[in-house]
Amino acid sequence: MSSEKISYTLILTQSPIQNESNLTAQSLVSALIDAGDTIDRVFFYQDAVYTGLKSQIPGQGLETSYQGWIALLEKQSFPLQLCIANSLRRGIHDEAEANRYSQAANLQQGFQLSGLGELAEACLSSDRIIRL
Amino acid sequence: MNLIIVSTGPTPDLEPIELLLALAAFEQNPKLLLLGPGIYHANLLQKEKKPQGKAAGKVLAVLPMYDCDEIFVSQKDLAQLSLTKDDLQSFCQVVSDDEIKQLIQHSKHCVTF
Repeated sequence: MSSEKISYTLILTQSPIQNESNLTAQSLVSALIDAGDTIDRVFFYQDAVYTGLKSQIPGQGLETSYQGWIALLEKQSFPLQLCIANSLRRGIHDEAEANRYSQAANLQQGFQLSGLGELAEACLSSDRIIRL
Repeated sequence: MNLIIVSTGPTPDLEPIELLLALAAFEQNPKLLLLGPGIYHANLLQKEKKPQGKAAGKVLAVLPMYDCDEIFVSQKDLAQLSLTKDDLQSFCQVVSDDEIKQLIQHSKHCVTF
């Protein structure tokens, strides 16, 4: 078996509320990190941007959809990027966008709003792109 | 070459197509493969899905301006939708299952929606 390390970009597109792909992706990233591979970025697109919504209040005893990602950052540092256009469409703002549109910021710390150029960059730089 | 595969129908905001446009704008030479209900993106009769929205066909029509004019449509799925090539944007190419296999094999990355 080859020991060559591989770099990955993950693209998530599904709502973390309605689908289990968010948790599947976290398990996959954890396993890849344990295997010594590199996570270039996790890019949240379409309804997956809700993962970075700070104001989530989960049911008693349950976790928010972002907690698992924050924990993974302690194993390896990688960007958690939300598509900025998709986020604004769904009312998710960082400080800069909140000021621009006179809204309250509600982006969870550890996540960032990014343009699709980041995904274009991923197509060039990552060995593998996985969409979940 | 990156291949965007769309197998879901057009939505009020055409987010999968936005990704395609972004890749084209960054000169990534993306190609688009439409399967199943995704074929409706290229259907000339499709209207916008929300007030002041954009019809998918009109958005696809600008792709050649970004040197992104390789849009492939599954021959089998097209027939299942009772559509013909004449119902689609003129630059769409109807492809067989074998050709789809080749497209996927020759792509560096495939992103599905």
